[in-house]
Amino acid sequence: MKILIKYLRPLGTYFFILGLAIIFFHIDHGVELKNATKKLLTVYAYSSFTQSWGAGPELVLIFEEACNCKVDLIDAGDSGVLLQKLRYEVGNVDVVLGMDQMTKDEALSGFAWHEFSEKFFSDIQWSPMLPVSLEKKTLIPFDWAPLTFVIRKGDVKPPISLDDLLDQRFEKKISLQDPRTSNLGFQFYYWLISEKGEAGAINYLEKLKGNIFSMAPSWSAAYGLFQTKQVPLTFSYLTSLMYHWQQEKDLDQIEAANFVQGHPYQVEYVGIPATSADRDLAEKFIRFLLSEKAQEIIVTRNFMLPVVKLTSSSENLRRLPKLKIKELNYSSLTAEKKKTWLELWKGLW
Amino acid sequence: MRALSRVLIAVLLLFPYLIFIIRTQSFSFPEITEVANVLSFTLTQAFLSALASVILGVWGALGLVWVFSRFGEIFVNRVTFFLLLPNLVPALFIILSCFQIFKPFPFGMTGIVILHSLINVGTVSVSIFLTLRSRFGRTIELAYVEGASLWFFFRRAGVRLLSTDLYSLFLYVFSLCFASFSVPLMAGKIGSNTLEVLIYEKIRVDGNLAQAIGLSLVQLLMLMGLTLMGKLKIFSTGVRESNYKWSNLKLLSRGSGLLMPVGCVLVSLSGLFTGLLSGIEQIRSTPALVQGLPTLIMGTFLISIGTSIFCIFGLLIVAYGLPHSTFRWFLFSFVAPSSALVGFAMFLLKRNNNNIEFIYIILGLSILILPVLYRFRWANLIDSLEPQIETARTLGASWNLIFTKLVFPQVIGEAGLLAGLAGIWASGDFAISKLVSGKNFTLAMHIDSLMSSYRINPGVTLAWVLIIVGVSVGMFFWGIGRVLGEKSYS
Repeated sequence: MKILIKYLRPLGTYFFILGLAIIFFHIDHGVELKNATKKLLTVYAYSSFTQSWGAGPELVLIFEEACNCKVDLIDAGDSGVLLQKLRYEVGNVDVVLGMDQMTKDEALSGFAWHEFSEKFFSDIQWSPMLPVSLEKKTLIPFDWAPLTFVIRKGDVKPPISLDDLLDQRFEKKISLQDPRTSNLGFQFYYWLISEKGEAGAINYLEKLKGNIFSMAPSWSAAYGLFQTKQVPLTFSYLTSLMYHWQQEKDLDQIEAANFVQGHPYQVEYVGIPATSADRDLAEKFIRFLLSEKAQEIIVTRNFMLPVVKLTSSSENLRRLPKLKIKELNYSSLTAEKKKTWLELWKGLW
Repeated sequence: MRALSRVLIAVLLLFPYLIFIIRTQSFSFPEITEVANVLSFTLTQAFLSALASVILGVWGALGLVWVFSRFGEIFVNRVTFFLLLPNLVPALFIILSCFQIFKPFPFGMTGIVILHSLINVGTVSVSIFLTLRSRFGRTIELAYVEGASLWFFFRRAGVRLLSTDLYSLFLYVFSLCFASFSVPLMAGKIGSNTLEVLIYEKIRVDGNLAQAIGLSLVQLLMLMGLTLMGKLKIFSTGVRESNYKWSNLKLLSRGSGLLMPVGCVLVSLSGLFTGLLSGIEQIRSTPALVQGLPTLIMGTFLISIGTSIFCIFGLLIVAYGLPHSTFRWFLFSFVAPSSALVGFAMFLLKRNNNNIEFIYIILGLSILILPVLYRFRWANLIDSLEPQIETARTLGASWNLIFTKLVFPQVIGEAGLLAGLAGIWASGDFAISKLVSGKNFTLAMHIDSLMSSYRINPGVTLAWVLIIVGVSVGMFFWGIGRVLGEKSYS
């Protein structure tokens, strides 16, 4: 009997934990059941937006109070994976958030989207800094940020241009993102192609090889190299500075490169699939996203710039350096072109 | 019944392919030139990584023998779990640790081999040590009594006797490195192109699932071809029979051997110390970073224990279906599709069943790990019982009797160990979990999210919690296996 108890006790403990885990899982995932009478809005977004420290949960809380509805915020991965998932979830998603210029054409050609009326935009005061216009009324920008090199002060003299990055002082000091696996990586590559042409971009990368410490598979891996002081500069968002100022209270250690020829940018879009079950509610959510209150939350939690004019901006927003924005022609960025350029890139190494 | 069990396992392992073929109704192969360039690099880095891991693992096993001789079984079990830790930690942390220690880091093939070896040497050492302990006691004792030196023993007998096991371990590490994603990209030369990266590109950039499946089939065919080498005599002369005479392993005892696997683990985990205090500080100032921590811990237990249970049953079903030459060859050579494809397959299967999505995650993880566990130790263990099974069949025993009275008592201990290993590995997964689930409910998913939003140090802090959860599940299943084994004998 004693042996039986001795044997069963650890087994019982772990099955108890397993049972508890299943209960926790259902508590966490089964909230919809409790609120079955409320309208449900399903929002697909990327990982950092949906987390407890991100902008998503706070925005959802405010919106739910206002609309007396339930918002299911789902982490659908980065924009590349998000669109692949959307292919199979059509009909179950009301709002899709997180496409950028790199994936916008694919989104527009691969899926049908709800078209917003002129009335929807009538009272929106777009930020004069926003570098895109609303030529199509289907995918709406909800935040954006210039792209640049983020540098640890004192480690190396900041570069002043793309060509300055070829200088010997940057030998093995730059972390970039792989364009095959990262949108930001492709943004950098496309910037080079826009500046220098296809052949020029390849020639440039050939010269830059010796200065690249690593081409990481993702922004987080590349930025991790920067944060762990493996490299003094990395390609990232200008607004990364705001994270360090706000969260790490680090006002003096990090700076951004300011290139004479200007910088590319990333704009993030939100849209309503045409198959959404409740387009009215989805429109209200997007309208809320474009409100000043929501945009302020996006600035402080998502660390991106607002797309609308803010009556008062935070100190960190004002402190950000003003970078010259370079207009890039994203309409020429087709899936075929992308594939061709990636083959060229692969051939380089 | 045995035929049914074989079919069940085969269908389970082929499940992701079946799902894609049913849902997408297509698969295609990419251009031969595109694949050829990628294959040569993928094969080379996997081959060299596996070779290095096995050679260093042999030396590491001698170190474990020394620990066993000096400090006994309980201590060596603890050291064993310590050596398995690199399997728990996200690869990025190990990569960052190495970049900090090896300055300048030798990017390229050397860097890839170093990183893969750091991750796998501990596991290989443990496996060889367990093999030595369970099957070579008599031989080693005889060599010791006859006055043979270590080098003489290995030169004349050891390598030959261990050939089957070394080959299995080589294939185990080879298949892991063959499907490696982050390590070749970050530690290799810029633009390193592996099959796994190409599959990811097909899914993410081209949206071409059909070609991604085709590439996975190429992976499968490659490994099947490699396992045909197992038919060579050189790899099939190992000792098969179990022999629990482990009291005299002194001939093999080499304390210096422990330096290698322990050093690898310490290097792998060193990065977890550098960001720890800063991470704790950030968590204290922003509690939202660990919101729902009990749920995350429970979720990790759920996935980890669930995968272990699934694997233990899977392994026993495999044991029930063997011996069978075709089935053995299929299991030995099978490699699951890339984790991106398996995750997508489970996502397609899940549809709207969000309340039970953890079941699909467990299923996906088990499909990935079962063939690995089979190659790792299960194949040789089942093979070692063949003479006994043959004798029992000759004497008229039924298959059910053979399984319950002969096979089960001798394999359940190992099944527990392998299930524990599966649990450790599963607790560190975020790739499949994130593809299937739209919400973070495990520590690994949460750590990945933290790292995606600047918070690498809090991620490092939570990695310690993950290690504790993973190791506790691993140790539990190992213990369960041993207890069940002992009970089965009595």
